Amino acid sequence: MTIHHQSATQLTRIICAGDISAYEVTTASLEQIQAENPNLNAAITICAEKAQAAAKRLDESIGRGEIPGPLAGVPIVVKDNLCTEGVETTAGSHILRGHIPPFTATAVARLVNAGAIIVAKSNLDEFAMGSSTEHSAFGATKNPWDHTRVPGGSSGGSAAAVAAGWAPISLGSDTGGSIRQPASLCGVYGLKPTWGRVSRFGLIAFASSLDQVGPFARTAQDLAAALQVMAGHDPHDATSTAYATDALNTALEKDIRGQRIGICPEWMSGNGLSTGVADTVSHAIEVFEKMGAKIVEVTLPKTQEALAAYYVLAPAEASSNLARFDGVRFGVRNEANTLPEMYKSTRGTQFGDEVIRRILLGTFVLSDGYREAYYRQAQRVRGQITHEFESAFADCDLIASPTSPVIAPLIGAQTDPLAMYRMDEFTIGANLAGLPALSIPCGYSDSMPVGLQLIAPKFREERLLSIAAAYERHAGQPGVAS
Amino acid sequence: MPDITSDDVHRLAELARLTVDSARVETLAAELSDITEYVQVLRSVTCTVTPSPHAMSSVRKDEVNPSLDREELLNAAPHSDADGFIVPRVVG
Repeated sequence: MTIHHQSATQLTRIICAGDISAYEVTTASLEQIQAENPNLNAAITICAEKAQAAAKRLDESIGRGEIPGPLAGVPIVVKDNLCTEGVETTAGSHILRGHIPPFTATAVARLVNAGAIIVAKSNLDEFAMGSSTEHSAFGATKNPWDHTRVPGGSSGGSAAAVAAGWAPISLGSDTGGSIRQPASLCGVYGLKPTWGRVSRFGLIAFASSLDQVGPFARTAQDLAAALQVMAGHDPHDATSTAYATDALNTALEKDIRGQRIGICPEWMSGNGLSTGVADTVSHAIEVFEKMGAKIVEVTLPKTQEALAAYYVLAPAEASSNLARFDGVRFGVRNEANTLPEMYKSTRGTQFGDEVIRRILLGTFVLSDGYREAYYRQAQRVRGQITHEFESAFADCDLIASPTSPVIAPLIGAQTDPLAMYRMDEFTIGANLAGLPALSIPCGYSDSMPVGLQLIAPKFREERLLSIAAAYERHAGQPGVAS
Repeated sequence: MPDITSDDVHRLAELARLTVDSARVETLAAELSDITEYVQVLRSVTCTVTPSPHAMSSVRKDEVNPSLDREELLNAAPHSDADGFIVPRVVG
């Protein structure tokens, strides 16, 4: 096995024991990235020099006998909508080409302070808007399992990086499924924490009331380790919470006997759900049952209503958040004679088609005469959906469903925006309700990975991790794509 | 609800301060109409609860703290000098 394909926990252990240096691990990771990225296109920026310098500093500090952090020497890949001081951060958009932020996002800074080493910034759908990582100004990312297919999105580069073995942990952001769906399509774990669990400071905002930063990994233990480091209150994000993370430590060993897993029949059939995905997910649920979990039927919000509410609310917030990209303070400008013409030309040509579509949609649902019928009604439906999830949790400890209705589509196959939006139908509910949710790799259909989604009540990530760890003991760790 | 027309796309683009390629206007109008038609399902949902906004965990103290470096921020702009961001002239 290639050195850096070991789990983060294992890498830190052998680096701290002096069996191998952080420099060697970092170099092995960088060599793989440099060899594969011309084909995979999962990275926008490879941070070779900075990563090797950081690894050397870490090795020196370990040599001096200083106590290393819990992720010492672990290579990580960071989605390129998370700001990194001194490293170009583009959000996958032409409008931010060349943008070097003067600060680092809190979630990233916490991992770095724990000893992790950023080896690359990963590709994404522009401003995290998309489900395929085809809508990037830097070209499409390929799925490491089959280069003719998409990795999912919007955090497709981060999912592909962990699936390909570039790094044991990567970071993504999830607004409507952007961590879980690519995790599912690439055969890795992807966790969207509770809204407020991880600071959003330094995450380039798409839809602030839905956005959440979270990790990808190939073991449940690494996922827990990354969340443990990132979670907690951040003075720079007033919506972040200091909720205790103690339960995460013991979650991995916890027996899942007696855990009540809720299943909604409407979420397990129809709606464009492929038979292969449905069968694979059902089989995994049977495994949970064999391990002692209790399967109960619950009523969940209709996925079409959640999708509709999302495609009103997320564009509305995006149209406001993206107003700051106007050619004045950062990124790229198209010169013009007047200020309004400069704004319009810069935004009109430097934003991609999907971003423009969503800004216009958001502008429409917020405009005079339509706000009540669209935006306010979507807010009311969001409240209703949140309430329905809370009611479901009266009868179960967590909810299981497919993550994505289908396996990874072929690159270029999705030309209808609505068809792409429908890929998020099972993931969006957790964002609307602010709930933590995890995609677990649970098998294959047509030789492509399938993910099972688990959703828990707010701040109950430990329940997700317990099931993931128990399933991993049964089915083994997901392998590196080959 | 009305379909979104090409004129609507021009009006929305003006509100959003961005130019839309004239070759794309009709396609955008059709795509936005499809999406707004899809979201009509929201109208039939009976809502029995009042939505509550996310709660803030805490607010910071109102005190002055060191912030980002002014020069660094100005340097990140496409056009700036030591005094500020430079934009096309807006008054006389």
